[in-house]
Amino acid sequence: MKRSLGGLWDTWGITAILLLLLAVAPVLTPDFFSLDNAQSVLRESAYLGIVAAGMTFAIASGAFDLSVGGQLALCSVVSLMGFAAGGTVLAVAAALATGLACGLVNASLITRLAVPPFVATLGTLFVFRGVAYILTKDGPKTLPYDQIGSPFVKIGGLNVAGLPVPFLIMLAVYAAAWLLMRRTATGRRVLAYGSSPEAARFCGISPTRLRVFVFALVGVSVGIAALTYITRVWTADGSAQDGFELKVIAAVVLGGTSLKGGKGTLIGTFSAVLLVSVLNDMLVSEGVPSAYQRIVLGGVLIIALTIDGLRTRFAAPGSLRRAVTGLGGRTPKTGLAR
Amino acid sequence: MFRKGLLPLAVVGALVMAGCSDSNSPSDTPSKSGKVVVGFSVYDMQYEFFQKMEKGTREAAVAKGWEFKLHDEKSDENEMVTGAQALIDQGVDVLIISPFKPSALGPIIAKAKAKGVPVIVDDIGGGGAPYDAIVISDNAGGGKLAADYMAKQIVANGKTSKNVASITCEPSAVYAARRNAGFKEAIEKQGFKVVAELSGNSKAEEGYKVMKDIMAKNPDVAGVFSCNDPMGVAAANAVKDAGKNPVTDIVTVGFNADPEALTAIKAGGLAATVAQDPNAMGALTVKLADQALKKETITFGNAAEREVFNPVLLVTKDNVATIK
Amino acid sequence: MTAVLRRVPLMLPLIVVVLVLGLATDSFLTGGNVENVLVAAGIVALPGLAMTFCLAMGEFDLSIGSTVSLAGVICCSSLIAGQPLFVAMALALAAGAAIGLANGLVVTKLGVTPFIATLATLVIVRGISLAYSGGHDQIVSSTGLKYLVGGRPLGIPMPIVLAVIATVVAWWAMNRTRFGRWVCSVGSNREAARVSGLPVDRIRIAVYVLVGVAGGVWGLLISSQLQKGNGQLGMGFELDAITVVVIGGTALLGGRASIVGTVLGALLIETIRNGLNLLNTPPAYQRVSVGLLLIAALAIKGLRRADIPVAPTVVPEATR
Repeated sequence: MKRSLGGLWDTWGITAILLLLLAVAPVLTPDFFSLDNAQSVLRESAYLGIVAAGMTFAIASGAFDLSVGGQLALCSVVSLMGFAAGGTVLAVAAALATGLACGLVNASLITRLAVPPFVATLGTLFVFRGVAYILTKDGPKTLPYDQIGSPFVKIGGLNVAGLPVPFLIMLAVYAAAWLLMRRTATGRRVLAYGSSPEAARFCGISPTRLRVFVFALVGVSVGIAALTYITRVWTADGSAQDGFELKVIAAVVLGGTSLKGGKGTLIGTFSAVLLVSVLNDMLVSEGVPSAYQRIVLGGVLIIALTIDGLRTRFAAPGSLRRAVTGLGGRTPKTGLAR
Repeated sequence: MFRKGLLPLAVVGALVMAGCSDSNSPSDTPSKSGKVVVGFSVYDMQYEFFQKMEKGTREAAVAKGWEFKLHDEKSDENEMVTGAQALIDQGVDVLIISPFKPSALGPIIAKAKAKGVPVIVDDIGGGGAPYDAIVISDNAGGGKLAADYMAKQIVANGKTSKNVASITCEPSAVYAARRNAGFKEAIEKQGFKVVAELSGNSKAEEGYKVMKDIMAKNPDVAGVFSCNDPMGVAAANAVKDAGKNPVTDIVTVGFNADPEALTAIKAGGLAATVAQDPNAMGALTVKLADQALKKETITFGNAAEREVFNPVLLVTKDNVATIK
Repeated sequence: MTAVLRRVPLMLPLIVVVLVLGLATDSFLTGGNVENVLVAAGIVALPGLAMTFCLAMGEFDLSIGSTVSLAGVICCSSLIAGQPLFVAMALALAAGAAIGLANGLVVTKLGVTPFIATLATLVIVRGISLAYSGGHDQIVSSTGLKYLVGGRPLGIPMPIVLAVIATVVAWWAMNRTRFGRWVCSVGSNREAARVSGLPVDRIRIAVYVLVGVAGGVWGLLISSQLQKGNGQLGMGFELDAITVVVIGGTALLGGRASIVGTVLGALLIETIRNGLNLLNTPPAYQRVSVGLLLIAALAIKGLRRADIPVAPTVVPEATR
């Protein structure tokens, strides 16, 4: 299939911006490509990136999950409790099981009680965080300092072939997610459901099963992310990563996945996560005061998407086709206008 | 089609390769200029309390002829770990940190130990990690000061009600909660009852709403203690909006001695606050950092936890003029 | 009739919650407390009403919490600089309008997704507010500003008066004017709206300006309560405003709006919050309860409508 320039941009635009930023980074921040710094950037983006992979499926299916922050707090707390009780194996199992359970709770509220995903996951955001708070009433759960030699504690700080382990986990998650979305019938169903739930239903896709799958997937991704998160910060309580949901959704949307559903690009999400992380690192290491860090970060978000928005507006033929077939374009309707 | 998967890998590859090629250059050579470099990772520069702490730390460090590097945790534990570790990577000789999450000090101190960098913790808490020293305000003692003052003031107001209220910070602020705990213990000893203990999540907006709810439920409440000044002053505003006086009707006490609290106390819009001196705490951490660098013995207030106490002080209308 | 019925479901949980709290506490139904709840609900309903238009249009404005902060900072620092009250308030509202205009232009002319555009302005405006205030509290002692929450025209607290007026105007604008129809048409199908000749860009910009001004009003009300402005106020308010709209029944994907629902949503949320405080609920349990009650309120609604397709379909204009 011949791909238009616009189509290429949809997938690769944010990656191009990331490359551009990486090209200028060493000029602005001489230390940027030092091993320590590069590893730090990759390591600290992992937990956000892993959840963003799961969230890409949710948004592509036309829903989003606002409860990921609560899930992250709860998975982390339960996992730390698991570690205290039974070491590495139990910690890993506890995180994944808790994530899955959270996802299934969300899914059943949405499918059985017919609560809209926005409200259901907003509600469970409070509930999951609240449960994490209750579990940590007597103080946050931590990885004790004397366990520094345990393999679990090492996950967060370890490097293999120069790459931080959390980042390798993130790469593996993205590889699996990419295959799932692009090479399986399930992935196509998610996209089909996102672009038109009615049409998908007529084609025999069960909305219930699809929702259960998507929200369980988000839950499991949070479970995996929690492992890379707690082995990095060694602690969790109910307040862990307040406001996480917006960061995750922003990364997914910045990557090029449409909030209207029907389109998902994991490559875009991946690049967007790194873009934000690289930018943040540059601002911090340049010693920009945090009030101005915010202004620059927001400005760059707008510029990144403006390039894309203008492109969609003026590249009429490609976007017209996508708008008509309902298959793409971040803002297909804007494109059609011209 | 599979080519598509390769570009991000190439991006990462570039990032890491570039890293490897560069890795034997400067990052591991601390204090090239021979100057001591001190890194200070601060909780959040949005808050006046930490702005003062930063000022005290910076001025003391500069006075010693040290180079000062600041990192703002922006109230985020991930940023705290990333940024504080980055300071160590950049080769600071000593790290001072006011941790957003004390329990996340572990990975930072592990890295510091590996590189032989001493760590001085400023306030908040130590989280059980092997830091070199911690400078801490006596939170429970401050709560007790507030309670004793409030009890006296309620009697002076001629109130017979024995009901008081307590507004807490967000539930995760374990160390700030000691203020409310210290307050509760001391005020109950005086025969009062804490009829409401509710969270305003450290925020002024919520402190205001919570105080309104407390007054609706307990019209006879005679005093209220808040675990920080934004909520304390907000509660005082709620008291005023209910047509009562925050000194003579409902004794309203905050904590921190933020400028807004001092202004309010002068104007009779708040009964009292408990002063910590973040500026002095910052200067004290630099002194301890110097001692740690020179491997001198540090005199602790509590040797078991390596704690050095910075005193707290009750601020009322009588002494507010003396507070900077 | 169908319109009334559609709103009844939120009425039911509200009545249940009120009854339960009335029985469980002896202070919930006292005059002072009812006034508390109404004032708090009025304050969150004001921006909620503006946000209803935004959601009806199928878009979000996440920047409103930062607008609250900046408006408060501008109003209070202008008062400190000796400006008269009306100038200070006008400047604050103008800042809100300017943020709204910026959002509108970025979204329409630059084609940036509203979610990201307003998330970016959330971050930027928060930064401006922090930088402008220098990180310091801007403390005022203004009886004039206090009137916004403390005034009692005809014995009714000012926020309630403002909320009632805003509700009437919003209901009229949404249901009885061309503007309301246009907003919903843009939300149902932006292209159809454009093809049928509606000034889509101008409608969208107008709605963002409306939300910006509402954010300014919200900031004035908060600063009136607290007698200060600073860079930290209003954090997370965007979710509060969107929540009352969504539980009020306005479709997240646009095309359908319920003004009355938004007001009931604000009442429900504030009633629950107040009730949990009256019951002395510890904060950890408060979160769990708020979450469960939100889900329960909407589940009751959802079950009632289970026979209607659950998918986010656009309700045709005629049934609105």
